[in-house]
Amino acid sequence: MLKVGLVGAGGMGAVHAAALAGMRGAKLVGVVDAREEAARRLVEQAGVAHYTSLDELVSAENPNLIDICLPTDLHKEYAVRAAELGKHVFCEKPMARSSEEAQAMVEACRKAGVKLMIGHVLRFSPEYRTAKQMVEDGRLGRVGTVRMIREGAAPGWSAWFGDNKRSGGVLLDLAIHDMDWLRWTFGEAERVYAKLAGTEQGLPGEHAVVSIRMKSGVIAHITGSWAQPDGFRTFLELAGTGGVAKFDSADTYSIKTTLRGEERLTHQLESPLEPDGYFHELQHFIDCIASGTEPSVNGEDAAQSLELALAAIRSAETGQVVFLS
Amino acid sequence: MKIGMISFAHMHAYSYAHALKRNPDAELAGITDDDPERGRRMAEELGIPWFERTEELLAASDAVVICSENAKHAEYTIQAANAGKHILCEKPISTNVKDAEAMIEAAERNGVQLMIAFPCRFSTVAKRTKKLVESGKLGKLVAINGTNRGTMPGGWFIDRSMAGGGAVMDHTVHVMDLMRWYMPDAEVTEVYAEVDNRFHPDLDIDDSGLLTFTFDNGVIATLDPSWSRSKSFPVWGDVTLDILGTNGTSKVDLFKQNVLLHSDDTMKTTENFYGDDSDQGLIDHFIDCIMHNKPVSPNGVDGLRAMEVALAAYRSAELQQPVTLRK
Repeated sequence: MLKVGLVGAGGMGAVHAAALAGMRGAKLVGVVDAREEAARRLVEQAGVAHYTSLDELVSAENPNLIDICLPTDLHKEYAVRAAELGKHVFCEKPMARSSEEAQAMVEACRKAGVKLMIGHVLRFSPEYRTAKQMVEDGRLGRVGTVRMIREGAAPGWSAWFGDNKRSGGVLLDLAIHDMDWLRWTFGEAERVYAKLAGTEQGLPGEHAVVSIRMKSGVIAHITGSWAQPDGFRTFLELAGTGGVAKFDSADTYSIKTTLRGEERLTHQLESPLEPDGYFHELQHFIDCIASGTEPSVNGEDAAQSLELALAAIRSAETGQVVFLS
Repeated sequence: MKIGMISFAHMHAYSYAHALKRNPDAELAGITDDDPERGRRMAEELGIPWFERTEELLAASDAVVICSENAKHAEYTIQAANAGKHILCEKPISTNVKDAEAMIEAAERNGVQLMIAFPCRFSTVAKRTKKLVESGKLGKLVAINGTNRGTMPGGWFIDRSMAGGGAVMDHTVHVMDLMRWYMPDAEVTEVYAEVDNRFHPDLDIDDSGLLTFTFDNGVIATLDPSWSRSKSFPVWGDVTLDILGTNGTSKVDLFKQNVLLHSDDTMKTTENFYGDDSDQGLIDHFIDCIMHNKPVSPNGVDGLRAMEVALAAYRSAELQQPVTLRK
C-alpha cells in the first residue's frame, strides 16, 4: 500500500482526497496546508493528520509520494523539495509558471530517481479518451480542423487564479488542458497565434482565442474563457476526411433536476462518472510507481504543453505568431 | 419591377428566382447565361423568356440579379450599371479589389444601386441578434467567434480562376458581413490566418482555414470558413456566432431551428430547417429599395470590405504573419 501525502487543501486538494479514498494500492496519510482553517474539513473528512509543512509530514508519515495541489507558482518549490526527500511527485497542472521552473522539477526528480507526473486530466477523462481513440482508429480519416472550448465564469473561489503572476491567467491555467490534449493526440505544435481580453476590456475575467497549427498540419482553434456569466462548458469538435465528431458538455447532462423552492425553481445538471478522470490519473500514477513504469504525462511531456501555453501568452502579448522550436 | 437573371452558375439563383416570383412587386423578365444549355433549361423550368445576349436581357429589365461565377461579377455588373440597371450581385463581390472598386464606381457613376447578396442579414435569428447587440444588453462587445463551415461544393467553386479562392473566399464573407453589420462603425485592422486543403488533399484550392482578426474598436474575433462537413454530416453546414460582451454572452446559431430525421431510407440522420427563409427577405429588400429609391444594405462597399478580409487571410497564410488592413 503506497502512502500519499497531499499538499494543498483547496478545491483540487479536496477532489484528489476524494479520489484517493476509493483507490486500490494507495491511501492518503496526511495533508499539508499552512492555512489551518482550510485544511480542517478535509483532514476530518479523510481521517488523517494535518501538517503545516511538507518536511513535517514526510518525517511523521514517511509517504511514498507527494501529491501537489497548490497554486501554480508554488509547484516548483514543493516538487523539488519532495524529490529531494526521495518522494515520487504528482503535481497538478499547469506544471509550473515558467520553463525554468519546469526544467528544475524535471531535473530534481531525475536526480532523486523519483517519478514525476503532471495532472493533465483530459488524458484520463472518458470523453477525451474516446475522441482520441476515434482519431487513432482512423474513424475520422485524416483530421483537418479541431475546435475546442473550455469556458466558464471567473474562478471566484480562490483569489490566486485572478493573479496572473501566480496562475498565468486563462491560457496557462485553463486552455493548457486543450493544448495538452492536442499534443497528446496530434503531436507537437508548429506555431501559435493568440488574442486575449480581460478586465482591461471590462470583462469579469480573461478570455482567450488561440489559433494553433500542428506540425502534422492540423488546424486547431481553442477558446479559453473565464469571462462567461455562469456555468462551465467544454466542447470538442474534430472534422476529418472521413467524418465529424463532436462533444459538447452542455448536451451530455444525463440528469436534469428541477426543484420547487420557496421563491424560485432550482436547477441541477449532472453528468456523473464513477470513477472520474481525477481518479484514473491518480490510479495511473500509483500503478506506474508500483510497476516501475513511466507515467503517461511525465515531466518532459508536460513541460512541452507548458511551452505551448507560454508561446500563446507571448503571442497575445506581442501580437506576433510564435513558432515553436 | 422587371428583374432579369444573369447566369445560374451559382445555385442561389434558383432560390432568388423563386423569391422574386413570390414578391408581388417583381416580375421575372428573363434569363441570360453564358452556358446556354443551363440558361434555356432554367428559363423553361421557371416559365420565363430566354435571352441569348446580355444586352437583350438588360433591355427588358429594370434591374438584374447576377449569380455568375465570382470572376465574372465585375463584367456583368459594370455592363448592367452602364445600361442603367440596378444590380443584386451574389457574394463575394468579386475576386479582387480592383474589380470590386470598378463595380462600385460604375454603379455610382450611372446612378444605380449595387447590392451584394448576404442573405444572413435577413435571417430572423441574425436580425434579432442585431437588436440585442444594439440594445446594449450585452454591454460593450469584446470578442466574437464565428463559424461558417460547409461542404465542398465542387464545380467552378474549386477553380481558382473562376472563384478567386476556395473555402476562405467562399465562407469568410457571410460572417464578416454580419460582424460588420453588428458593429457599424468598426472595420477590421489586422488579420492572421491558417489556410490549407486538409480535407481534399487532391484539390488545388483551399478547403480549410482559421482566421483570427481585430477590429479598430478593439473587438477580437475568429472565424472558421472550412468546407469541413463530411458527406455523412446531418446538414450542409452552419453559420454561428459566439458573442462576448462586458455584460454577458450570446451564442447564436442561424440554423438551429430544425427537425432531426433518422431515416432508414438513406441510413442517415438529417437536420431539416424550419426557420424563416432569409432569401425572401433579401429579395424583398432589394425590390423595395429600387422601387422607392432607398439605399440598399448591404451595398457594394460592404461587399468589398468583407472580401478584403478574405484576401488578407490568403496573404497572411502565405507570409505566416498577421497582415494589416488600413490603419
